[in-house]
Parts: sequence; C-alpha cells; structure tokens
Amino acid sequence: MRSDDITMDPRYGNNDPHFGMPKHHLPVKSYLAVPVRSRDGGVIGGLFFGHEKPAMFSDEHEELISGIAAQAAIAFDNAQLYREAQVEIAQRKTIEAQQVLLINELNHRVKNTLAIVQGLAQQSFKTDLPTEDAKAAFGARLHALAAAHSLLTRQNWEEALLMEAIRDAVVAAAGEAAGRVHCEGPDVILPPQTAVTWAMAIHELCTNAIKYGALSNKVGTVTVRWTVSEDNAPPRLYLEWTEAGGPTVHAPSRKGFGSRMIERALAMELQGDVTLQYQPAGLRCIINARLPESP
Amino acid sequence: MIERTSVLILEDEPILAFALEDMLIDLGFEPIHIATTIEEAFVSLSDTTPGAAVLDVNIRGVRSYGVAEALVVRRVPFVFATGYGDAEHPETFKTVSTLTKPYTQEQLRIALFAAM
Repeated sequence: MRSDDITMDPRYGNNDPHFGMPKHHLPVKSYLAVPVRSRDGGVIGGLFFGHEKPAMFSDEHEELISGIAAQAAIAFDNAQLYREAQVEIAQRKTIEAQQVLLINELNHRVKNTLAIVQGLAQQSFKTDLPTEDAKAAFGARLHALAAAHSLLTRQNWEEALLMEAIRDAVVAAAGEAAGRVHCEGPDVILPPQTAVTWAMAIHELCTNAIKYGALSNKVGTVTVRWTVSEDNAPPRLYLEWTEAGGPTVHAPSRKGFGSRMIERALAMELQGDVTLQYQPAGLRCIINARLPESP
Repeated sequence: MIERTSVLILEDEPILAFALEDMLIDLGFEPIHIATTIEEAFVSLSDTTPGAAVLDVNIRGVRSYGVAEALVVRRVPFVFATGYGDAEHPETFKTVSTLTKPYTQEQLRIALFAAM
C-alpha cells in the first residue's frame, strides 16, 4: 500500500500494540509498504518505507520496491527449499547406511542358514537308513528349521519364549498329536540362535516319540515341564520331557543325528547337562542348564 | 599334551560343528575338540595343543582373533570359517585362509593342508 500521508488514513492509530507510531519513532507521513509473498501465497514479511514529508513516494518507487520484494520472496523460497533438500539428503543417507547394515546382516544369516541346511543334509544322508527314510528325515528337519525361523521372524529376530519355541516345534513335527504334548513352565526368554537349537532338539524328541515312543499310538502323552531356580547365580533352568502310555521303551542300538542333536547340541548351546533315560515306561529327557542370558 | 592328529573346532552353531567334525574325521583327524564359546576354546587349549584348528570368526558377536593369537603362539596351524563373504581380518591374520560357509569337504581339506 502507498499513502501520501499515513496519519490521515482512516485506519491509522487503530492497531494494537502502539495505536499509531510508538514514542520516539521517527516522524512518518509518506508511507509505502509492500508484502514479501512466498510462492504458495503466504506472507513471509514486508518492506516498509516512511518519510517525514507527505507525498514523497511515486508509482516508480512502488514498482521498484515491489520488484525487490518479489526477488526477496524468491530468495526466501530458495533458502527454504535448500534447507528441506539438505534434511532429505541427510535422511536418505541414514536410511542407505541402515540398508547396507541390513543387507550385510541378511547375507550373513542366509549364508549361515545355507550352511545349517548343508549340515542337516550331510548328517541326514550319512546313515545306514534306507534313502527314502533319510529323505523324509531331512525334509522334516528342514520343516522344523523353517518353523523356528518363522517364530524368530515374528519376534523381529530379537528373542523368543521357550514355551513358543517348544510349542511351535511340537506342532510342526507332530501335527494333530501335538494336542497330547502338555507344556508348562514359567516364561524363559531365549536369544535367537538358542531358540533354533531348542527347536531342532525338540523336533528330534518329537520325531522319536512319533516313531517309537508315546506319540506312536493313539493314547500316549508327553509332559514337558520346566522350572527356574533363582537360588543359584546365574539362575538355572531345569526341564523334563516325560513320555507315558507308549510302547515299552528299549534303548536304541545306534545313536544317530537325533541323539547327537538332543544330547550334545543342546548341552553345547546351553552349556549344561542333557540326559536321555530310556526307561521302559517312557523316554525321559532331563535338561539342567544355566538360564540363557536375555539379550 | 600335544595331539598331532587332533583338531580344535571353534563354532557356536552345533549343527555346523557336527558337520565339520564329521568332515574332519573323514579326513583322518581324531580326536576332535568342539568349543562353542571363546572361553571353552581357551580351556581346551590349556588342556591340549591340537595339530590344527578351524575357527568361526564371529562367536556370538565376538571375534575369535584372541584364540587365533593363542594358536600363533603355540605354532598351531589354523583356518578361519565365516558366513561373511568379505571378512576383513586384522593385519596379523591377513594371510590366514578363510573358508566361506557353506564350504565342501574338499575346500576344507585344501585349506587345512595348505596351512599345515
């Protein structure tokens, strides 16, 4: 807006906070004000000119100041765009760095999983069992490994509960017969790798129960019960897998991958003791280990 | 005690440790000592000096270079095994062979005999 004498303007002196010119303000009569408008129409600020004498600002002055205001608006808009671009670049760089980490971690896990599959294949087929049986055993072990991975994926690969690791492995191996496996015990948190070893060991216990033990008939049951003893530091986990109602148990003549996985792998992973007792009334597996440290 | 034909395995994944144990027995090594933690590896070394060793680089998030140094002191030949394709070893171990998982028995044989 332009005014030859702002003090004569009907709007003059009505506005908060000064209602006219503040005290000690240089005297102003001629007044020229031009808004600096952003591209999106919002007012960024304004250019304000005053003169003590009336009618000092002309059309040319107004045009010139409007031009400067337009330039200033462009400069402000550009600065804003630049700042936004910098923020976006920084965000992208962070995300890219996270992606590189994720890809490396994924690569490691895939290679490790392939190595585990190779280990399962090597041990499943190095046997005096008929090829068809070895193939079936290998397939079932892959299925158990996949079930363990599903469980960990649900937990973002951070941790899993012992109860879930056991339940999932039992359901994957035993199907409907899983209803005859009763699990009870307090919450125990497992780090990811330990959860996989548990799942694979439980899978072998289930497979054995289905073939020779309590799950080989229609009525046998399995009870998995565990307790945590806080008396010791670090606390200890005591777990019993007890089969009942199956055919009379005989100790196996040969030890294969199953007992290796149950007796040695679990003991190694848990740094504890794992014992298989082939009692005539039913197989018992007793685990006494340091409680896994939560991650 | 020195056991010329024995091998120390440091591997935190039991299924992989067993597969490696089988391969080493097939290659004529015995007995095989399996350690799943860095501490267990040191305990095993304080007991017996093996003829060779296979070390997984990453043991539950910790690098196995401390064990590698102990092996160098005892003049025990060893190879690394890792799931990381691009493992960058420290200067001291630049020349040590690294098996990339999964590896075959033949790759293990070549790497191990070259180290010995």
